[in-house]
Amino acid sequence: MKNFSFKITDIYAILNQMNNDKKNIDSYLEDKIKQSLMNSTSEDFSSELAKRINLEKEFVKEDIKTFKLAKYISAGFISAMIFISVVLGIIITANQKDNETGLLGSIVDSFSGFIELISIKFIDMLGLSFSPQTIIILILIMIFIFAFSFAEKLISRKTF
Amino acid sequence: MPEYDIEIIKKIKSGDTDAFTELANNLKDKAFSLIMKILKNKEDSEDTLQESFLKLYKAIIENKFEQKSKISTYFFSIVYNTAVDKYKKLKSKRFSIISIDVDDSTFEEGDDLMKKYFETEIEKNVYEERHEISTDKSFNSAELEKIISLYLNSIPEQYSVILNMFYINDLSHEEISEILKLPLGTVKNRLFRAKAKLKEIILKKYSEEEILQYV
Repeated sequence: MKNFSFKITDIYAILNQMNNDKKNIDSYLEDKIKQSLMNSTSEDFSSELAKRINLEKEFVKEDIKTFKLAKYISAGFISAMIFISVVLGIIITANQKDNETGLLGSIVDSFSGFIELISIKFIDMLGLSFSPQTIIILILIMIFIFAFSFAEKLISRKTF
Repeated sequence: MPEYDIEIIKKIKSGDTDAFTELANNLKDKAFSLIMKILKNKEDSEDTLQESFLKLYKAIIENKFEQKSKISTYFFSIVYNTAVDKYKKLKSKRFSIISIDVDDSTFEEGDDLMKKYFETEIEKNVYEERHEISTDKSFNSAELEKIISLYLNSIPEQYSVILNMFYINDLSHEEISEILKLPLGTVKNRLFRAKAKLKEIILKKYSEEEILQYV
């Protein structure tokens, strides 16, 4: 009569085999899923893309040129504004000290008169009052803020 | 970031368009597969892929690619978003019946593959409506591939996109979750359910032993 022996390791072997079979089916199905999911582009796709990239490269070159030009124009504009503001400030200060007459004095006087008029309108409309000097200082501050923020934008903007 | 990515980015920035073509050739089919899952139309998908490559090129040239992730991961994120935008444009034009923006309120999370009507729909597609699939129970590898292909074409985009991202685009669960802006658990759940359902469908036709003979 045949001896029947069964060890605990046999159970592990069977369980391992079952586990391997399961893994095999899963990995087999996963391979099939990968095959089925894959799609390919048409043959001329790469050449069409290369054309578009070369075109894009040209656009980028043009953009760099335009950007550089815009940068120079903006820098010139800002410099001019700062220069005018500084000169105007100096003139007003000098006018206050010396109370000059003549052409320069009359220009400053008419400018002050204009600012005074605006100031009076303000009083009429809002009940608020500003002296002409305060308005001039405010305008100068605004010009500086505008010039500074514009320059900051230009500097902080990443170049190509 | 891998050494290959660093090198290729350097070359592209220095104006080497061949380097970009090389990169594009490595990524194009994987990206195209992803777009096809969303748009389901070859022409629109190729257009979207071209657009995605242009966006990648500009991002590299203009230093917008921060080089925190792999270039492929960054690119597949661009591809997905560009395809979804294109889909939305086409949807408004064509009144397409396919839907990627499924209203989640009508589904229990991760449960939609188990919805009775949906199960019926997939299996109807896989077995009944397609006459080319035989009713013969003996195992046939080519037929199995056909079943898998039909199944993948029948499941909603929420599943096929995740399967594609995981198996074709080699994205991790975390990366998929980040790109799709979905919780990590949802991504894992959908991946698991999509595979489990496929296995269930196949095991209805073939026994495990039959399949194992070919493994």
